[in-house]
Amino acid sequence: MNTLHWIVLFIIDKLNGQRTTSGVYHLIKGKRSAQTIQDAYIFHCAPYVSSIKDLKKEEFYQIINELVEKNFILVKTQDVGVITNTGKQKLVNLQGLPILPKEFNGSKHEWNGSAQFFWERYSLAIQTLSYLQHGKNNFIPVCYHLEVQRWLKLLFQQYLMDTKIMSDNIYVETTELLRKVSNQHANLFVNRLTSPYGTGKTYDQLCKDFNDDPIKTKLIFQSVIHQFLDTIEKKPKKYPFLMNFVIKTKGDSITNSAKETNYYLRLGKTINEISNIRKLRVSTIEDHLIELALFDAEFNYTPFISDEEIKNILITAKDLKTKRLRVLKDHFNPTYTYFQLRLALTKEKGADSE
Amino acid sequence: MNNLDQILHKQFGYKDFLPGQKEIITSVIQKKDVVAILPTGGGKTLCYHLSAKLLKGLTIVITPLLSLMEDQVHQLRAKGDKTVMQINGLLTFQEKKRVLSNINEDTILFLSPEMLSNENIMNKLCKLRIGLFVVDEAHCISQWGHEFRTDYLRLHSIRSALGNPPCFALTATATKAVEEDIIKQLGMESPIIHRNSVNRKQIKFIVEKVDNNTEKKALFKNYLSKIQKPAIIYTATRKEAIMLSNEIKKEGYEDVAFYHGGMVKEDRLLVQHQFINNEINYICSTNAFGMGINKPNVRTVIHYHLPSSVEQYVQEVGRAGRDGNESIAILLYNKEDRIIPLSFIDREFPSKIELKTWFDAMKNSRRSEGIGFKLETMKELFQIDDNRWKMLLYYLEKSGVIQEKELQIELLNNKLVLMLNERFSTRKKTKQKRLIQLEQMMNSDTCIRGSILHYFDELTEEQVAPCCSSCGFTMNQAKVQLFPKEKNEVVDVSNTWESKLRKMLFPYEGRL
Ligand SMILES: Nc1ncnc2c1ncn2[C@@H]1O[C@H](COP(=O)(O)OP(=O)(O)OP(=O)(O)O)[C@@H](O)[C@H]1O
Ligand SMILES: [Mg+2]
Ligand SMILES: [Zn+2]
Repeated sequence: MNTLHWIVLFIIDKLNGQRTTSGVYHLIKGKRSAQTIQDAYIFHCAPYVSSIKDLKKEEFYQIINELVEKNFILVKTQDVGVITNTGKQKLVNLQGLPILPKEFNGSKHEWNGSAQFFWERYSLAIQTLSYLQHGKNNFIPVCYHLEVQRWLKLLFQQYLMDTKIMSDNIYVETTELLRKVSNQHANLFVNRLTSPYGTGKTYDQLCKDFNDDPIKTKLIFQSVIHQFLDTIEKKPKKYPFLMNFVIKTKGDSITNSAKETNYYLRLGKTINEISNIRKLRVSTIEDHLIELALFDAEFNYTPFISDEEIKNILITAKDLKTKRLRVLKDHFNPTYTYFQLRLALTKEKGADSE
Repeated sequence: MNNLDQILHKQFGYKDFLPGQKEIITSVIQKKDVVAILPTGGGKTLCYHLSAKLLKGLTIVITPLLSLMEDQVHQLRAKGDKTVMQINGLLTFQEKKRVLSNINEDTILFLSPEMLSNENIMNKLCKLRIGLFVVDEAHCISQWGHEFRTDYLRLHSIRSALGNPPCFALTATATKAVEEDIIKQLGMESPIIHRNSVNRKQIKFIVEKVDNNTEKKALFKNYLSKIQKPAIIYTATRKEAIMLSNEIKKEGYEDVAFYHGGMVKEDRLLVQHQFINNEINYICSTNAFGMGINKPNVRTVIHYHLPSSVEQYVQEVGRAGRDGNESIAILLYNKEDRIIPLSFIDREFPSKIELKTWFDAMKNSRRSEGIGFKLETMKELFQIDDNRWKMLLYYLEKSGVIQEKELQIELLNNKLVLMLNERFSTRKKTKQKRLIQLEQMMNSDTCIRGSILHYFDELTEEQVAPCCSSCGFTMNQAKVQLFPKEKNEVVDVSNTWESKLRKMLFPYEGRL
C-alpha cells in the first residue's frame, strides 16, 4: 500500500457507503462541482479535496480493484464502495501516522487553485531572478503559462526592474517561512527550484527521504506551500513581497458562472427566471445556489427553505444515519425537493470544524 | 556575400547554410509550394524561420505534437525572437484571446491542428494576410506516415479558407508514397520538391537479437557499461521506462530519469530541461520523447523494443549525433517484441462490436433525452480515448452521419458499422505491415543503413565506414570520445537549504 491507496481507502471509509466510487474519485481529483465540495464537508474530509489533482481514472480504478482484491473494500451494486472490517483494521493500524501532512488543506488551497497559483509564480520568479542575478538573460522558463510570464513582467515593472531588491525581499520572506517547517521539508522545497545551478528535481528524484513514495513527497511539498499561504494570510504585513504571489480574489472558490447566477438572484429573480435568462438548465442553476450556500456568507436560504425545515431534515438524516439524497428523498417524499435536501445538507458544514 | 547569407549570419548567427537549406529557402521565398525532405537534425526549423522573415504576412506553423510545439516555441523565444507565438489546446480561453489580439503580419504563429477548427481563431486569421502556411513533420498528415491524426485531414480545406497561401511541408521521413500523399492532402499546386538523403552518416547502427527478456536485460546492462553518454533509451510502455530507469540506478548510474506522456506537465518539463542541460545523462522514455527534440550531443540511442515502423525508428535514432559527431544506435530485439506494438495497433481502432454498442447507445439515449443529448456524453460513458473518439467523429462527419454538428440518428445502422469496420481493418493492416517491415529489416543480415535508404526509395551510393552491425561494426570499434565534462556548478548536497537559496539569488557574495 502506498499513499494513494491509503487516501482512497480513507475516503471510502469516510463516505461510509453513501457515495459511489466515482464520487470518491471526484473528491480526490477535486472536480469543480458543488456536489463534490458539498460531499467533502458533509463527510468531514475537506482537507482531501483535490489532494491528487492529476489522478487518472484508469489509475484510480486500478487502485479500487487492488483494494477489492485485498478485501479492504467491497464495491456494491450501483458502484457504491464500502470498507470491510479488514480495511477498517488496516486504517486503525495507521492511526498516529497521518496520511496527509497536518498542514495540508485541499479544500482551501488546492480546490480553487491557489496553491498552484502561488507556486507557478514563485518558481518562475526565483528562476528569473536567479538567472538575472547571474547575468544570464536567456533561459527557457520552467513555467510555460503565458499568463504567469506576463504577471511576472508586471511585477518586475512594479519594482523598477531592480533584481537586487526583489531578490533581497524574496530571500528574507522565504527564509522566514521555511524556518517554520522542518529542515527536511525546507530542503524538499528548495530542491524543487530551478536556477543556473540546476533544474528543479521531480518528485521521483526527491522521494528517497520520503519512503520512496513520489506521491507522499508531492503532498508534503504541497503542504509546505499551504503553510506558506496560511502564514501569509495571517500576517500579510510581514510578507509584503510574497503577498504579490497570493491569488487576489477572495471567495474565489465560487465559479464565475455561479457569480453570474448570484447577480440575478440579487435582482430578485427566481430559479426558473434565471434558467430562462441564462439559457441554462434549472439543475445547473441549483448547483450554483449550492455553491453559493457553501461559500457565500451572505447567501440567503429563506426563499428556498426555512430554518425549521433545515433542522427537521438534518435531524432526520442523523436518525436515519444517512446522507444519501435518494434515501432522504424516499423518506420525505414528496415534502422536500432534492434541491431543498441538498441545501439543508450544506448547513452541515458549520458543524465541521476539523 | 548574397542577401540570404547575410541574413543567416546577422539574424541567426550561423556561418554557412547546412546542405539543402539555401535551395529550399530560395524556393519558398519565391512563393512556390514546397516540399522539403531533410534528414533529422538537418535544420528544418531554420528553413521556415528564415523564410518567414522574408515573406510579407503572418506565418502559420502546424506541428503535430503538443510538447514538441511548446519546446520549439520556447526555444525560439528564449533565443530572442518574440514574434513567435502559439495557440494550442493547453491555453485557456483568455490566453487564446490575448494571443489572437496580439498577432500581426510579422507573427510566426504555431498552431496545433485541432485549433484550426476553432471559429474565433479562423475568423481572426482570415482577416490577416497569411504569407506562409508551414506544416512541420508533414509525414504525420499522410495515412501512411506515423502519428497520423484525423485533424490533419482538414488542413486542405482550411488552407483554402485562408486564401491559399503558399504551402511549405517539411519532414525527415517521407517515402515517395508519403510525399505524394502530403502533396495531395495539402492541395499543393505543382510544388517544388527538395529531396535530400535521409542518411545520417555519423550514426552507426547495431542490432542485437536475443531469445528472451532475461537475456535482453543482461545484454542491456553489459551495453550500459560501454556506451557513451548522454543516452536515450526507448521502451514500448511507460511501465518499462520506469522499470529500466530503476535498473540503471541500481547499476550505479544515478543521473537517470524516466519520461512519458502520462507524467504531469511540470515534471515532464523538469526532466526535459535536466537532460538538455546535461544534469542527467540517461533518459528512459516512451515515444513521447522523440520527433523534433533537439539536443546536440546525444551519443547513444538504445531501443529496448522494436518501434512500430521504420519511420519511427529513423525519427528516434535521429535524436543522436546532431552535433555531427559519431553516435551509436543500438536495437535490442527479441521475437516477442512485436506483441506490444501489435496490441497497440489493435486498440487504436474501435472493433465492430464496440461500434455497434456505441451506436445502439447513441440511438437509445437520443430517444430518452431528446434534444439535450450531447455526443460528448458518449465519450465519457464508454471512456473512449481522444484519438479513437476523434477518428470516429471524423468518419461520422465524412459519411454524413454528422451534419452541421447534428447527429443524423437514422443513419447509425448496420451498414455504417460494416463500412467503418472495413475502413478500420484496412488501416490496421497497413500499420501491421509497417511493423513487420521494420522487423524484417532488423532480422535480415543486410546492411541496416542500406535497408533504411532503400525503404525511403533512395539508392545507396556512398559507402559509410564504419556502418552497421551487418557490415561488421561492433562496439569495440566505436570511437571513444572524451568530452571535457561541462562544468555545471552543482550545489553541494551537504549545503543547507538556506545557503542553497542564498547562492541562487546572490552569486557574488559568500566568497568573501
Ligand atoms: N545553418 C546552420 N548552421 C549551423 N547549425 C544549424 C544551421 N541550421 C540549423 N542548425 C542547427 O541544427 C540543429 C538541428 O536543427 P533542427 O532542430 O531544425 O533540425 P530538424 O531538421 O528540424 O530535425 P528533426 O527532423 O529531428 O526535427 C539545431 O541545433 C540548429 O540550431
Ligand atoms: Mg524539427
Ligand atoms: Zn551497413
